[in-house]
Amino acid sequence: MLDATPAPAPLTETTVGVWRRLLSHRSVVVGGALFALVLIAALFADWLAPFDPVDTDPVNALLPPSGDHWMGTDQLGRDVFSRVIHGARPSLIMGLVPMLISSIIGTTAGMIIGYYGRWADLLMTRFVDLALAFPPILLALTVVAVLGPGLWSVSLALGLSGIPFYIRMARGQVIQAKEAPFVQTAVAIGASDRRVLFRHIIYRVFPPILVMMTIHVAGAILAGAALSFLGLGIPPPTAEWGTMIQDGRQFLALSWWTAFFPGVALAITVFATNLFGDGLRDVIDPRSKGQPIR
Amino acid sequence: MSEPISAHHPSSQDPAPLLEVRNLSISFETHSGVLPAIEDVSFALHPGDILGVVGESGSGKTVTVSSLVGLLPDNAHIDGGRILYRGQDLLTLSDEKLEEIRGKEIAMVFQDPMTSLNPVMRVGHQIAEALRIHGASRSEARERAIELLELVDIPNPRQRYRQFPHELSGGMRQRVVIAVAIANQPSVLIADEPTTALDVTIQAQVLEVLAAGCGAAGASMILVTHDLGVIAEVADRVAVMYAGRIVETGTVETIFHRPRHPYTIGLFTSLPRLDTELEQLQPIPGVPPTLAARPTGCAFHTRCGLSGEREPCRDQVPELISLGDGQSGACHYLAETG
Amino acid sequence: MLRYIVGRLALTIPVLIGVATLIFLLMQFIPGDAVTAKMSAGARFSPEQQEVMREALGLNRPVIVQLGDYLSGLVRGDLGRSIAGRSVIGLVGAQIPSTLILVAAGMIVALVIGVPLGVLAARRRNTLVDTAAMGTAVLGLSVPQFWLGLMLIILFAVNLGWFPVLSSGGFDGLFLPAITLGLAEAAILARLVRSSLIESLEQDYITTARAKGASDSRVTWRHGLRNALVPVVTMIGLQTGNLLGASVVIETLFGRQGVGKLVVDSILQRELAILQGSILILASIFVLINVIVDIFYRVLDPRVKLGTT
Repeated sequence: MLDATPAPAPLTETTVGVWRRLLSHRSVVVGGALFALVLIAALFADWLAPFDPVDTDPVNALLPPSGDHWMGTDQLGRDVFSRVIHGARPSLIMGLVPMLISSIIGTTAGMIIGYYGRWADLLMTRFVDLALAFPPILLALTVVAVLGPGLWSVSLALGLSGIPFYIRMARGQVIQAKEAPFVQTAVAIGASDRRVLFRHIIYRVFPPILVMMTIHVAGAILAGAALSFLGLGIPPPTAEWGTMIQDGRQFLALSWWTAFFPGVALAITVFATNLFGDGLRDVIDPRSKGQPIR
Repeated sequence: MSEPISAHHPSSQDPAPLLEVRNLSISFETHSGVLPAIEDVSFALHPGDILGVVGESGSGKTVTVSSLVGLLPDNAHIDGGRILYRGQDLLTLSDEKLEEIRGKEIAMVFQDPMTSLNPVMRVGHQIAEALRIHGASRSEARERAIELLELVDIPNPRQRYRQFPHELSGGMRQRVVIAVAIANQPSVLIADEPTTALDVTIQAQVLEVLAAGCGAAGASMILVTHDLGVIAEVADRVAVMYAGRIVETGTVETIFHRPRHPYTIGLFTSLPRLDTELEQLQPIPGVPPTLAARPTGCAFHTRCGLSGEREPCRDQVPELISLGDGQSGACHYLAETG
Repeated sequence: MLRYIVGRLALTIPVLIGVATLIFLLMQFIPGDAVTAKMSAGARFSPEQQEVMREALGLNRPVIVQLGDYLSGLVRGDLGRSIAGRSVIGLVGAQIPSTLILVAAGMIVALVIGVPLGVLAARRRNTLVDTAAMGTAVLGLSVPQFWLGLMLIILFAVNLGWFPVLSSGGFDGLFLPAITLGLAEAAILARLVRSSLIESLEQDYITTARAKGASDSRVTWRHGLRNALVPVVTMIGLQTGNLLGASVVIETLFGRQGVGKLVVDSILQRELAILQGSILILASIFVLINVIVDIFYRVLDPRVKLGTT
């Protein structure tokens, strides 16, 4: 409205610029650092954990937090701290694997149907609408019912149920990008479909997909833990945060710590991922308002 | 310099101006530092007058008029000066006091009727709201809003009252915006490029409605435009702005017949005119300076045909000098243009 | 308006048929059938008996025929029978009100907390208040609901004794589940309201309203929020899906009756017909809620023409 207000900085910028802004964004740095901690816990759990996560010691069951057992022990006398550290592994797998499955399949499919359109687009859009008529966790529940419980079947279930979101996003971006002048120019100078799609359009598709991927990791970790909590995810005795919370639930009146600490670990991990995703969106895709997938 | 220009305005009988701006300076806080938007702007508006403010985009005209109603963006800062409305400095008023004046004493017509009406509110309610805020009862506001729709020449006002902005054409919407502005019979009406966004074919009609509405409300008006034709049609006095300063001011007759500032002269020679057929169109060379890159001294010296980069033009900001007949100009070499 | 509603409802029919088909096909992948389920529940049949039963239940027919059978049953309001022979529509139907009440209560919690928080953050944008509000929102998004619910139980039910540990009927029992369910959605809503309101407060019509002399709060609520709600309402429709999905967890956690709990129980007990029916019901509720949201959206935004779909 005000004609004297200076124009915003031009949008064209180098990769270096993006990296610099990412590294100076508070959310990205804090979220990234927290996530790195969780990653370290997952990778080096065997060295970091003071006790074996599955070794039972019924004599020392349900001990409150102390110098020996920082987070106390559970109903079988297992060290909660060690189990929390080991619990980072399945959680990260249940976050990252579904994200990879959904993003690779969903983005590729979405880009192709968005670019070529016609009947494939029509068919796929109907199917995506249908799949989105299910609350995502229900779809995952059904798939788990089909595959049976376990780390990989949960990961696959969450991965499959996330696909429609990526298809919709990638398709929408491609359809928009097809009209953009730089794409029209590429087509006009005779670039092949593959070149247009993977050399030009992909730069429009990638930023929002990247943001979606981080937010998806957060949602998948939560959903995976929820499935385990329901007894449909990772079966005992594996140290998994959702299962640990379910176990602790039965001894709630006696020992708050058995359910408390795994939940804190879960919240920190998801918080880190969400924070990172928020910062990433601010930097690379400020217009979008990404919503969680769960 | 602090003497307001129009104090010598001959056509005005009332010596006390309604609205008077003295040495107003406003800057913007931006990524590239604090940049001055307008500097040392002074003018006065007398009862019954229509003051036209002309200038290219970026010259600071919108900033100037926005400041009059306290509607500057958040990153704007008033560096100095006074805005006197009936002798009261608006810049020292509390938000509540300013809200009482805004819309009741000083009202505004905006540039783009496509965006300046609330899309999810019936147009009648938007007019009535202006009345309700300043104390009218629900039924009074309604009746008056319908009268106002009639006043701005909207047919079937009772039906139109219940319509939403998207159901009205651009011209109709701008009439609604005018109705909102004159609803409380303000003393001062500020119109910021009121016809720029409209179809050329209806600009004249809307301008007529605006002038009539202004007259019906008994208001004085500040009309911001880049269209000299609009000024010629309705204004009494003109202030020409360039790069955040008023460079020339005077009555419409003097400015149109005897422009003295090289920029004003440039504006006229760049326009096609019927009365000077022989003269070739001469666009002003160069582009208006951006906020971040205003030249030193006289901001116009980089584009001025007169200066030839003379020293005072580059180093000293020229002051507004009275030329008699209510005309003033800010140029080091006014003698050469007379 | 009525024509639009009827048209919109008619459009859901193919969607619902698609949803039913999808669930039916998914179920075909689940190992075992009604007969093996009965056997794992303790019954003993010889292979010949099993064959006879499969024949009787129509389980030997081609999948496409069974699907047609299932769909035509749906039209008559028949969702099949449980292992014990009870009508699925009766079992699931009895649980619908409980789940609807929970979801509605959760949505109310989300609205009551999320909207004011978002407005506050938008009005004080880029201040400490904004940062704190949005930080809390990200945290709210990140806390697992089943854990939050447990902690609320420990604090308010076990230690303070304000609410029952298990959620029976009644308002008392609804409080903690609704809070647990609503908080994460409140966080999502707060973020959306904030960004939507900030965008709306930058529009020209806001300047017009201020030029009328409207006060800050009038500008924010009457003009800003009223416009900001248009995208928010769309999102609320989608969020209901989250709430319905989360009801699975919340109902199990609080031992509350409902369709969600039925889903979990039927998976654990291999009650495929009940599972199929419950999921179909939840998905149908989601689809219908989105119809209501679509209708409401048209009321909120007069620019969307009535009668077009």
